[in-house]
Amino acid sequence: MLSSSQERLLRWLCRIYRLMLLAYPSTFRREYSREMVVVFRTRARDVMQRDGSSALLPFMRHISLDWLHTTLRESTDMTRSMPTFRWFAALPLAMLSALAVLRLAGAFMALTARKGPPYDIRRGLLWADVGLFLMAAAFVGVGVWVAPGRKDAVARIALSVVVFGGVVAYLPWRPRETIS
Amino acid sequence: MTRAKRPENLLPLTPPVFHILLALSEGERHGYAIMQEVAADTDGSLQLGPGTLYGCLKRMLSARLVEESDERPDPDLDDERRRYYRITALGAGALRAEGERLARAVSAARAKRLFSRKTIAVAGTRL
Repeated sequence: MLSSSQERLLRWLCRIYRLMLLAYPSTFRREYSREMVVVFRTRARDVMQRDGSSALLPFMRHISLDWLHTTLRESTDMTRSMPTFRWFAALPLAMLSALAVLRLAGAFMALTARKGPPYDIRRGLLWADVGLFLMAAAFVGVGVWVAPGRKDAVARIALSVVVFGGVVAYLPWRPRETIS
Repeated sequence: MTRAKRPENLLPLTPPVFHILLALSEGERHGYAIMQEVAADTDGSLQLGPGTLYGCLKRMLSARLVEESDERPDPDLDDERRRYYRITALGAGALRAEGERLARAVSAARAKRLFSRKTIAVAGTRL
């Protein structure tokens, strides 16, 4: 029998797991997600009853590794069936990567060409720039490789383009303004 | 013309698929029962996560190694969201063929004295 705090923890873990299941392709999710949640809940309950709440840490580590491995596997299985679309979807990723490289090179040149205060602001902006680009690249990568279906993939790529546009338009990496 | 699948053509089976078939060889089970059976059969060395389990079951269903069962042991005692799976004739054939293949591999390893006496003794007590 679980205590009320353990029951609450279990409910939260199930919510997190349901969110994790969104990374699976939609066909797989529709077919198995309900059962997977039942299995997850039963196993988490067993682990808590047998070894206490502290045993949930290795349990969640195992679940996360399983999730990482199987989302990639199921997505690869799905994309294998539509190679043309995969190449189409990889295009924004390639463009974003190329742009990220160019911006990094530009930022590096701007940083090394001029000297004087305020260094901290410039450095902060540079890291913001790098971080946002890496995040956007990762987002597109995830959108392409963990796309749950053709429609979902289009939606994610569209969203990636919005993120990418936002980064380009509003990123405050303007060396002249920050240096003066 | 479609050619009937032969169990030998499906070899080698991956460890999770082999152990899932082994768990189902004694009767139909739902997902969590399969997980528990696999963990028990392997002394806990193979712990299937939900993703691995249902990914394997999906592929096994499409390869007709297993099928879904409509029967429930007792609907009052069981969660209605649980689906039961049972092994097919093709699955049983593949399990047997993989078992024989592994047995031949173990014999070959034994002939080359790869196992220590302790390993053989432990394996013997399990039998």
